Amino acid sequence: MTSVSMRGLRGGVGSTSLLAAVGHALHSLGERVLLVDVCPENLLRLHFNLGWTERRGWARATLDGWPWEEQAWSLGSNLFLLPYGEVNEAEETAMERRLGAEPALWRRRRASLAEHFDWLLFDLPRGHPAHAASVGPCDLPIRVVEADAACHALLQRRPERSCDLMLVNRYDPLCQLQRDVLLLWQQRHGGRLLPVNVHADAAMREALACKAPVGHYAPASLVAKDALSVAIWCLAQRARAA
Amino acid sequence: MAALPASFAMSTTAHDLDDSSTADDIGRLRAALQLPEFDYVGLGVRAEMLRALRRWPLLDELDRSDALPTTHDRQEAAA
Amino acid sequence: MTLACCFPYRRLRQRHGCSAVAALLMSMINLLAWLVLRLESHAWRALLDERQRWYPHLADKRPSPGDPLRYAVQTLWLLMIRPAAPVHSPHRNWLAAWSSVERACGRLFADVGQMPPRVRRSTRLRRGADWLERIGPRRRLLLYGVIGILAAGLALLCVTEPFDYLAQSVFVLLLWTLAMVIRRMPGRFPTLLLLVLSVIVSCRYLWWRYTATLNWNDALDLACGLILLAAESYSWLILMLGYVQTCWPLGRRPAQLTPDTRQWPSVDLFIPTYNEDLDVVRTTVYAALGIDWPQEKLRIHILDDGRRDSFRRFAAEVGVGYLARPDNRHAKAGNLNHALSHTDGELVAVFDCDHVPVHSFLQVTVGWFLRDPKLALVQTPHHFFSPDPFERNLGIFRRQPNEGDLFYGLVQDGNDMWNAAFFCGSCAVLRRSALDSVDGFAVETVTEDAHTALRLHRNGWNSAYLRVSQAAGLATASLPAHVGQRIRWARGMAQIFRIDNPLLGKGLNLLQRLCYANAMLHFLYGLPRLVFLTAPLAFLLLHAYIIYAPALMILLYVLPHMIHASLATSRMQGAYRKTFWGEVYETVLAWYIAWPTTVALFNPKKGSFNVTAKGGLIQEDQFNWKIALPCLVLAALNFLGLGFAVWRLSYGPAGEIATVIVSSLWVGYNLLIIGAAMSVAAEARQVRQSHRVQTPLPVALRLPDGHLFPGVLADYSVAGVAVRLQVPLPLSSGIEVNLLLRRGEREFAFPGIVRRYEGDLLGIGFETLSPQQKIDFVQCTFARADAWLDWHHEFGGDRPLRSFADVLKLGCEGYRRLYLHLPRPLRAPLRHFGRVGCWLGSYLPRNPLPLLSSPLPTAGP
Repeated sequence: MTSVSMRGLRGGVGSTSLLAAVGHALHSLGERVLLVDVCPENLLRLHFNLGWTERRGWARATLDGWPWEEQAWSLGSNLFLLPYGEVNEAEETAMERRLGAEPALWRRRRASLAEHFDWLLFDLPRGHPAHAASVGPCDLPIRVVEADAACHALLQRRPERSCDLMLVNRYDPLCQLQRDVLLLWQQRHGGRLLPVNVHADAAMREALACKAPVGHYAPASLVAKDALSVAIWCLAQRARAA
Repeated sequence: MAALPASFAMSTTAHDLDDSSTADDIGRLRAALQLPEFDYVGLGVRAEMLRALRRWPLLDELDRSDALPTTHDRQEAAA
Repeated sequence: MTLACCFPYRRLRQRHGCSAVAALLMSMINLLAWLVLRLESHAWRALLDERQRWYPHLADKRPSPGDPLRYAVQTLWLLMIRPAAPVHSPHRNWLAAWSSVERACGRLFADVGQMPPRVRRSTRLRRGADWLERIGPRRRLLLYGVIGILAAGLALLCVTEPFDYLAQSVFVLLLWTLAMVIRRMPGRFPTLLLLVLSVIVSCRYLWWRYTATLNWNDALDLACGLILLAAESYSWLILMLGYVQTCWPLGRRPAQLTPDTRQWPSVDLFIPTYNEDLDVVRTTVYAALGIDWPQEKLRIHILDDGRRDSFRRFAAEVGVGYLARPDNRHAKAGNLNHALSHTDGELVAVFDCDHVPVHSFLQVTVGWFLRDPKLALVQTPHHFFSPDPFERNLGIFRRQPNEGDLFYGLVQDGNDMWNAAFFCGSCAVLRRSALDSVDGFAVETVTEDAHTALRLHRNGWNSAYLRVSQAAGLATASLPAHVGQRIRWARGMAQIFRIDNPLLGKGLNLLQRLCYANAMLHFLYGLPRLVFLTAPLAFLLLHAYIIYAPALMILLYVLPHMIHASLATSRMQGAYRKTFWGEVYETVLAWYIAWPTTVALFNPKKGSFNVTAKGGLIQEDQFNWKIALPCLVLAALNFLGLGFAVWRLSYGPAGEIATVIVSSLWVGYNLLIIGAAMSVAAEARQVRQSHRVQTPLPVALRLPDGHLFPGVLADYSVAGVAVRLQVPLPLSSGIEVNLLLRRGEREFAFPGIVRRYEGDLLGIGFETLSPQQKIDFVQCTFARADAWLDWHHEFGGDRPLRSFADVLKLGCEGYRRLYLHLPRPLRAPLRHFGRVGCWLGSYLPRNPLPLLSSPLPTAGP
């Protein structure tokens, strides 16, 4: 089992949509995939056609004392989704505290999932350190970035996180600034940067509006191909590690 | 349990051409020359990067504050 | 059994529309067959059911009175070539014997193919090598000397010993068998063995020609015979020099530069132009601007001998140098020399204005200058991304090696082995100090490039050739321009041969002399080629015995000479030129080259530099009568010769029949080669101004609404691209889209307009690109480091017989094209000939079709 985590370097870089797309692409390549939403916003489920009113999820279950493993949704053979569940602000803080007290929670759970899945994909939140920490180290920790000045500045600020891989999302080669920033990164952070850039494609935003991952909503689009490229890259990394 | 609305179909024809290896013209040159170790210096890229730093003051400022090999490049370019 | 089945007169008349006579005849035969034969039997049914396969040319044809005969001929043919069931055949023993021979050959060839690695592994051989090592250099030299003398003596014996029919037959058969076995061995050493066999056989042939085939008693015989012998001696010399030149191609690879870019030399990049379009020069300049070299060490100059303001403005606009001079003395060489006097870079790179360098050009080529301080020149191949007239008119572009591939693929690489690779005027880097030591580029001849290189070599400088296509350009557009260019080369080479003969003078070693001599002598092929194309006529028309020997003896000497030469050249050159194609190229040019080279040999001062026209359009299909005229005359003469042959066969003495037949075969071969040369003269239409390069690259499209779609580049030119889409898109002409192209890690967007959208092919035109975007576009397409690398991998290996068949087919095609382009009044009488020919041809038997595919076996039980 290989674990992948995706987290935006800053808010709103589209990491949840990207995670959904990559998870779908991995599944389309015949892999057994479980997507885990670790963000209290609980948005990942919307990419997979779950109802807005559907409140269940692993955090909800943990708070309510139900078994977490019964909260997963089967999205076809070998593609599963574990939503976060609807929580209010107080519960969110409580959950953070609880995960802080029980830091190995997800590491334990991961061990029990290992034999059922080839891939575990975690959608990590920003700003909930205990949430992120509870997942533990992943095989492929990915920072989702946009090639803009804000991300560039943030990259400069956080040398301690420099072991994470970087995946450029919403890349628009028409934009001079984006081209320049990417060029700079390729020179400075060449080893961390994934060889694939995910393009800024309107299909990606439309996919969420249609409640489907982009590979399902617009399989012919470039961004679906990019997500597939990321998935293939993941497979190559696993093969290299093996 | 809610399942996805329709069957999953993914076109992989676009991947008949593997993008990054096709785009890597220097890599293909190395392969054709059978010189995998052939060292190539992307001077065009370097020059373009310096232009980018000139173009955007914030990038330049951040780059100066960064004690990475940039300064060396800059001296080299100035020389 | 109905009457209609036995006597199908009505059906034939109504459904197949045959004439009454044919229908009646066929019906009668059908009836007869039903009466006499047991057509309902199993065997007959099997045959009749597969009529389509066994009688492919008759199955769907409208029955005509000649059909019974056609059926009979085809049946006979089938019985002869293809015993229906080998198991029951009376020739079973023969077949078994033959197949066992085949099997034995297969085993032998497989064995032989494994020979080189086995030899390398052999311990006994290693012991031998160790012993050779131990005996010391003096004794080793002695041993080699003795072996060498023995081998030379044996070779001398093989060459000079006169044989009778039987001995000669046995000798050539043995050598041929040996060659056929050696051919199967991979590696260079077997190539050399083939070459040695060819040298022995060819020398023997020439020896025999000099000693035994001249008739000293008849003036006409002697004159014609000597002319032919001179031509043959020339060919022999070129063959031998060619062997020396190409027996061991160096295959040099690029040398690594130092990692510190501050130590890299400064380079002046010259783009000489005279009358070419600015559009052509623009692409070259855009590509040059992207060359990966320290900015302050690369200076690009347009050397404009046309003194055009538009060029001056363009140079200023993109920030490259512009050099013009008041006069045009010494054409391109003078232009380059003028530029040399105005610049000071350590190295000089020269690109013809249509040769687009790729961005890795300098880093690939300059390394050798750092490694060898006496290196004066690094030449790379001239690659053409548009078809030359041969390729276009014969439809062989990118399917077969072109005329230049032999030179740039093999000859220069072979020259490099002997430090004799020479400058070809473009796509090369030279050292300024070397040029200064020989007073710049040579101005005395019209081929300044080779002459400059010769002088550099004479002054002790070295040269290098890198067989990596790192630039590409436009081929000559029309046949006259192509011929003009070759005339210039031929004249220039002849001039150098006269005024600065490489065989004489100081500074060159023997092999350099031979390589240069071959390069120059090779262009004198005009007259000898004309001699070969007319030689058999000397006998047929004038009754001159040009080879004064019995016909059979001639065959026993000529055929081995030709076969071994083709085997050896095919082995050495097969990847770069198909066997027999050289003869076609030479035949087209022979007449045009014969005169200028002869003149230049006698008066090297005469003749001026003519600029080769590149690009350009040919509006419609046409037959270039002017270019084809020499071929037409030659063809007419040879046809006349055939007429005479018929006459001699009917009325001549019986003793001459064999000679007449051999001469006629020669004439026939000549006619087909001439036909192939003529088919080049039928110029195909060329519609686009800017040539499109077909290279599949992944691209993407950005639509105005923000959606992106992947696609595959079908072709590109400076003006636009065609993209193959994977899904239909909501696009129509006039919509603005962005094309996303990648090179290396960088991705670029180019705004364009949809020009057409048919099927899955989308045509996009670029009109609004900024100068930077134009540079980037050229960098993503023409200037990719790998743009021209795998251009040749679609060529299959050379198979001499296949190639021979191709050339013969092309010969027939030449006459067909000639007929199609004839004026109408001339065509009418010929049409009857054609009809008669087709009618006679319809009786010829055909090979049965392959078995129709039976339904696939289902998988598993």
